Amino acid sequence: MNDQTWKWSNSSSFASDMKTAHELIDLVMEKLESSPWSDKEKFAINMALEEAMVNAIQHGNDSDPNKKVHFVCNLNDNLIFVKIADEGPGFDPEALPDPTDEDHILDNHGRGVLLIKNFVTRVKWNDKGNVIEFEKERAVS
Amino acid sequence: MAQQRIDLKKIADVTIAACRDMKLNDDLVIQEWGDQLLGLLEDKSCRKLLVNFEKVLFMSSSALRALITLNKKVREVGATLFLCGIDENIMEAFRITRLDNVFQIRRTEDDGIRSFQ
Repeated sequence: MNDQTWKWSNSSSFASDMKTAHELIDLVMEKLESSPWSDKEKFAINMALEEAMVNAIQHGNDSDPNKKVHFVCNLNDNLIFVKIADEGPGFDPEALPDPTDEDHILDNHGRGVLLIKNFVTRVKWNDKGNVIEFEKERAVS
Repeated sequence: MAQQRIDLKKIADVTIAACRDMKLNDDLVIQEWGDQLLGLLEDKSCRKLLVNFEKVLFMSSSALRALITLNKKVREVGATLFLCGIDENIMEAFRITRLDNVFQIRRTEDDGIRSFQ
């Protein structure tokens, strides 16, 4: 995706705090407001950002204000790229129980990761599991 | 002091709790919202509960978790729960997580009320 020309980019590092995370998410959503992305796609991006931030801040950094979250977002009218890194121990997203499985459907774990996987086009974690990168492509209308 | 997160009304024996917030993604909001819904079940006259989401445009997995907790309480006390007015985008999150099979969901408040009869 190195050939992309971005219309807007943001790179931030901030202490583990959902208030700051929500301000950043709101900023991204504001940039998408006057764009050709559909409402459905904007919702999907909002959801992926929300769940990835919660994972980084609450699960990764354990809401420790001394640990930072590193956020990168690049977007244009056809693609959004997001990278979120935390300073926690990481996790194995493939080891999470399937929250749609009958035995786990009422569990409290894995639903956020499932939503991210379903709402974006591509997602990957680093080997340690403390850095997520995802992309969403705009559907051709 | 907690803010009021639901508007309440009663039609016959159905308690209707309409969510006030457009976004259910903030921890404090979800905590207060969930606690207020759970609190309704402390009243034994509230055994038919309809939660109306028509004002809600976004909800995170944390809010879904609060709903699961509510559903467990509903079963414990022998109540019945329906959800209604769920935005189509949010409905997709229910479908992805298969929670559309866990909850009884109706399109409108009237549909929900009728479902108790």
